[in-house]
Amino acid sequence: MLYDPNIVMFALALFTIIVTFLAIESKEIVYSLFYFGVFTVLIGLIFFYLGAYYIAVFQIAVYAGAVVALILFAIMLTKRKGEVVVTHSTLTQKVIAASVTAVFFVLSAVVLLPDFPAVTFSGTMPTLTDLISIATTNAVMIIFVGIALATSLFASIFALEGGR
Amino acid sequence: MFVDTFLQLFSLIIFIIGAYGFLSRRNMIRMLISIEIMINAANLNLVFFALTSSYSHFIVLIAISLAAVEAAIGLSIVMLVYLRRGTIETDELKSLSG
Repeated sequence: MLYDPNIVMFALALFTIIVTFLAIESKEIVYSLFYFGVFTVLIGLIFFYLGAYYIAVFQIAVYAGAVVALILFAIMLTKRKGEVVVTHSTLTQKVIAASVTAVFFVLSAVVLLPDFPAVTFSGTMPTLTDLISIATTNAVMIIFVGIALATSLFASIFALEGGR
Repeated sequence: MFVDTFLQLFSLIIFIIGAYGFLSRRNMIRMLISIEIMINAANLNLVFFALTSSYSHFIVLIAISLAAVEAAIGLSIVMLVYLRRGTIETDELKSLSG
């Protein structure tokens, strides 16, 4: 196996602690809610990693799906003290956002596809048969990751179109 | 053994961060988010302690459902307070303090 499971768990835990701190300390409450959504998905990944699959599914469906939307509507319906100022993001913010999403994607891929790196980096080049066998054994997970990536892509495109 | 201690320490850190947020913030929605973080830490700790038992999984499922219900009721209370008082900052809600 290419990676140590303890290291993966440590990286997930460190990332979760950072995101939790950001959820508490963000000045704008919508950003705080966004970090809370990332936090719930990370907790779901940890549940998945520990073998509690049903809890992971319920965690992501209930928290990242329902509770975050509920809190978002409550934020929209109540008045805040300061006005929201939407500005264009700087290069530093884009780099930070890209690194955060990259780390998030790598952690998700490592948790969801545990056999994939071990075959790819075993010393010999994987043949087409190996790749087909990996794709068929992990078909559900690959479809899940693909749906997640497509959803994030379309959501970002619609957010950009709506912001103009 | 290291992993067990580490996991319990991790859930403790998450709980402490949530408790700090609950104590230091005065916006009711932020306080609700902190409560949700603390509930998540408790669920994590429960799963860590009983990894091999599927009984704890059902308890955590029930706890997640109850947390969702708690969030819905809490946010409805927040909306009622906002409609009656026009604010959700707890510093400005002093009618109960006598």
